[in-house]
Amino acid sequence: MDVTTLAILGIVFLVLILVIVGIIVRARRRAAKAAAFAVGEVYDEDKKRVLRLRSQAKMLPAIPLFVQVVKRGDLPRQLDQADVSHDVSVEDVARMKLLLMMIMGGAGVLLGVMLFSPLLMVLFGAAGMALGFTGPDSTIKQAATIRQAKVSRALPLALEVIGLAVERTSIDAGIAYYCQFFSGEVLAQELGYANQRVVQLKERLDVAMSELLHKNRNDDLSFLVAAVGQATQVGGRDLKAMLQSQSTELRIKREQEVKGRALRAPVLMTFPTLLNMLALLFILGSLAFLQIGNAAK
Amino acid sequence: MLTIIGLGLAAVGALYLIVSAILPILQQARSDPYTAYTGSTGTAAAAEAARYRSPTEAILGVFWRGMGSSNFKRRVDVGPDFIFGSLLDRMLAVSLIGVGLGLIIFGQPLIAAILLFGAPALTYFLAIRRAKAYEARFLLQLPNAILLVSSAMAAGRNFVNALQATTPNLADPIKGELEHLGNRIQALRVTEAQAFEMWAERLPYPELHTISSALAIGNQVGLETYALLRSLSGSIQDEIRGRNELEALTSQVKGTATVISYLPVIFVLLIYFVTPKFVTPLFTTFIGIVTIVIAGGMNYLSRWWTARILKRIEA
Repeated sequence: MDVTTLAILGIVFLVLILVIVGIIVRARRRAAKAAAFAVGEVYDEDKKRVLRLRSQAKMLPAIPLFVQVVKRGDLPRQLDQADVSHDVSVEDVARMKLLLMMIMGGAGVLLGVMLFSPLLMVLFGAAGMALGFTGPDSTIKQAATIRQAKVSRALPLALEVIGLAVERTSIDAGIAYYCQFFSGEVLAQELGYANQRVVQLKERLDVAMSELLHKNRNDDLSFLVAAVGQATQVGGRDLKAMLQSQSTELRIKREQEVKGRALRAPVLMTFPTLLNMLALLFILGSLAFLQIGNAAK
Repeated sequence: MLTIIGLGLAAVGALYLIVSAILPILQQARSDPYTAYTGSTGTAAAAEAARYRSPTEAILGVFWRGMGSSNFKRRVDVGPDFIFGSLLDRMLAVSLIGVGLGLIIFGQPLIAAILLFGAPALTYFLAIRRAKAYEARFLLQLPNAILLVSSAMAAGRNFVNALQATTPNLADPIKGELEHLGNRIQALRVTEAQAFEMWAERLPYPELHTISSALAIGNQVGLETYALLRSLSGSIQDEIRGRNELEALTSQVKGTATVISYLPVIFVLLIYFVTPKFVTPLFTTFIGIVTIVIAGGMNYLSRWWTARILKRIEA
């Protein structure tokens, strides 16, 4: 068996192992998601991804320069919004950056080696490291954006359910009922944290809700927080009608946002589409190159 | 030789198809899936034990347990005649029949390999289409049906009476579903909230879960059911409209992305069928393998990027 055949077999074996590991990992994630759904728990995949990356990078040192860069950026706020700030510190983010720099840089160098070009090796290595440095930012931002979008999406229905409950009971009880019966929603989890503060720290609900608003920095939540404040201070007259009209407003706002995002989508999709076309061109070019090589022989 | 193997595989597939069609019927005849609610055997574990166990689920084990999660099962497991396990059985049987026919008719292992995955994928696609159509029809009718039931209740009827008065005027699938609901409440002596919860378990649409949860809250705080249903009808209608609009707006982008992501594979296959010699070096030389790895990586990156963009749009 010659070296070329061995190399081919090695690459095929490596790819097969990667594919099998990928299938097993995805199946396990899906099973975890199904288990969470069955018991009515929140399954926040993006949050889990951040936590996974943190535990993978925990053996690495936190480079002080990276820590300072993280501290001065937007990441601490996004960690709050993604609900991971209790588990992931700025030092952890610096470690994640180092880990991804090593992995992506290594992959870039490997690609350069496969293409037999020292120049490409350096170029791809540097590009991989740069990509790795920004990798955790993107993961954390994604987790924060998706979580806040889920909160906003659940809010209109939550306002209506709480509005129905306040017809016969207090707003505190309405929120508690929402948390109990809609436990699979991210918003219920967030409101549950506020309820927990009320029960354990003996805080007033309006104070706990203000803290919730500060943590999430989600403007859509502000009306619910204001309604709780009003109910706590002056009693909640006409609260049901107010909550329901706010719910309608939020639905209209969301509709407009969705339209805007959907209109932007074709533009955003241009880049991944181009990447696919590039893959096709690469295959065709390579086939042509191989045929020309054969003809020359 | 290939023909004999093909015949064998197709025969095994056909036999498996017949056996797996009979098994759920036997299982259904043996057990009552609502035992947990009637109190006769007591627990939800008893109902779970009575659930149909697909032989394919047992064969494929952990991989399919993963696939049986929310995305797959919730979208497919709809309608009174639809059982998740039996779809898996059908996919496996169709896959075997596909490979067999591929070997018998074409006599080419490559075509058989394509059919091995293509045939069950087609079955899955058809099931998804059917499930989506059922869901769309059902959700279109649900808010109005709830409004009708609530107005019958406002006229002084109880929930079951209101259901009986309303359902004859409705069209399927909501008609059949509401008739089942009424029968269940009468037979099992459960409350409206419990009946809706059972319904939401069978048809796992978020809207039904919302109604059952709101009814449960209403029961606890002492709200009239008809007033609650009337309020919920509007909310549910708004939620469904929002979801449908989002789906309509993103479906074009999703479709384009899916087609383009398969383009490299389809193109290479097309060239292979026209001139196999032109493509063979891709799998037999070092440069060819490196090309596949790099192109595969680019394709994976593109899919990952697309999924990320779509996730943000849909969130």
